[in-house]
Amino acid sequence: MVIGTAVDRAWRMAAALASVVGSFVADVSTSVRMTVDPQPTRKDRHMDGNASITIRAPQEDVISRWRSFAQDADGSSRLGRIEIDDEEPDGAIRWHTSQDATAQASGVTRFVSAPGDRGTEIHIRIEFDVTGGVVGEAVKKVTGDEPQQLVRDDLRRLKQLIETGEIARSDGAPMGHSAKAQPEQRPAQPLEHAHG
Amino acid sequence: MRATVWSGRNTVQVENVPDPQILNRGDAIVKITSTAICGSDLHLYDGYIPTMEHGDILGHEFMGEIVETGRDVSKLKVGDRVVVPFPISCGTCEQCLNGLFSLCENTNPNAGMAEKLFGHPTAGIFGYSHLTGGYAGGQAEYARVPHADVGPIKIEEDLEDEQVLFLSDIFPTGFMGAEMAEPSPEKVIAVFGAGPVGQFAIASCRLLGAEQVIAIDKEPYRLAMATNEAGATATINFDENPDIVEQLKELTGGRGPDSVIDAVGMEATHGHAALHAYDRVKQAARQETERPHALRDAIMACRPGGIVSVIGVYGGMTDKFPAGAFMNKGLTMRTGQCHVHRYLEPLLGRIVAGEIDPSFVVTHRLPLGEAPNAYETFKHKQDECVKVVLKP
Repeated sequence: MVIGTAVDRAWRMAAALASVVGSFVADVSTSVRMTVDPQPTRKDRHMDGNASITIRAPQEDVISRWRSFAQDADGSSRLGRIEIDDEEPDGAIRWHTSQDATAQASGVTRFVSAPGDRGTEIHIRIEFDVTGGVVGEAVKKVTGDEPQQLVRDDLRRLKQLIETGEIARSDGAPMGHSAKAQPEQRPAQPLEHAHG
Repeated sequence: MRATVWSGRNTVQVENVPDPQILNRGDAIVKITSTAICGSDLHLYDGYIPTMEHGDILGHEFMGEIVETGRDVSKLKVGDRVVVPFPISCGTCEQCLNGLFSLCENTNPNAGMAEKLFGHPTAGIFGYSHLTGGYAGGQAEYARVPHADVGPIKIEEDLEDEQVLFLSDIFPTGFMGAEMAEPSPEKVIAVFGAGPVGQFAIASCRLLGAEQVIAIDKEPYRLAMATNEAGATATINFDENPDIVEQLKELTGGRGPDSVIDAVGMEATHGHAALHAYDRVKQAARQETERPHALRDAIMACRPGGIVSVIGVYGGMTDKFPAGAFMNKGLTMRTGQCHVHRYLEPLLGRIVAGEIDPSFVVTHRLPLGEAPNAYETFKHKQDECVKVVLKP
């Protein structure tokens, strides 16, 4: 073991390097596949997507809280105010965003009791037009302005409001959950001035 | 106030930053009296945890005195002396109600980020990247503590800071690692890593009835602490002999340890130069986030039918996971960031009863301003460093 250790080590290092380079492509593609968001499906110039969450509260409460949140009664919604079109016999609610909303979309929201008395599932299916083409949509996805991301932000915020009474704020994300704020976080140190 | 901020790989600085403020009604502000550097802070220091920003305040092990409370805080008042658990937990979601506090569904404002990497978000953590919420940490003069009625434990007993500070993380973490390993008098348990968490895992195995605990490390001074203070009954120094699996068999009549605890995590070292070089190069090139030698050896060494308890921190993707050994030997793996909240009362009880004095791990006591040197000393295991306590 002692004789030729240095040479041995150098050779091993080279072998390790070579195998590392060799497995690079497979590794990267695997990790990318494992970490990307589910993509909304694209049909012509129309996109659709889903968002869902489970909230630990009875169905009637979740429905009424969702209605007031989605109509942006307290300004907490990231998507902005919606207008309700109609309610289906099974309780599903059809809606579209108002003109002053952050993004334009329409959707259907369904409420289902979670198994075993574990609260209420909210399932939202949204549809929106691709404005600015595929590139424009990709840019919005990166900047967090894409409707599906806004709807997902809103479901997390609504869950926090119902379960804890408040939207969780941190030094890095003082406005609470927002896909838009995630790529460009402020440092995790206190703000200079009190935040509203 | 002054705070320890991350300013790039291998760089921390003590800087003046704004004082924390109440952002949520359930917040409290704590004036910190003692704070510690955790082994997992070194993963941030070394740049292996993604989503760090320049200026992030580090630190998730801290205690102090309440100086301000939000209007929804009812259990704590100004002047209370508290230890703060490192996960931030709402106490009302399904996970918290089931005692799985580090899996809280409501405290990570960057849940979307975590979901991309882990499939689901987990709880917010103080001073531990934006992936776990972007919360300012506690290696500072003051810290904002959300959900103050849920997390902090009030210390009314006449105990020194160093006796209770580690309730914030490493004592409960080691204890949970031991608990998951299901210790009993007839079982042999091997603990990979004799750092601070490993020391508490060993000590906790003994508290929970194990009579044989094997400590594994490459630093003789850490193995000595494991034997003399934590209660290890045998040691393996893999710097002397890198074949840990063979040595564990030798120590257990060929059976292998009944349970193994990984108290190392993503930046393991290994006696085998080639294996170490492979992962070191991949990790440096950011092609894998982990160097999982301890986890691989733990799986290979564990007795068929046994338990692999993982409390060492991992952050992303690993290579060469011995799935064949794991499956064919019928192993059980138990893991998780510690659900600190559920251990606070019982472990404080054990400290008060004199069953354990957690201050045995402290080797360095320094003023907060010395944090940059302290990180270097701890990282390079200089001066027989095991645990650093900083005093703001």
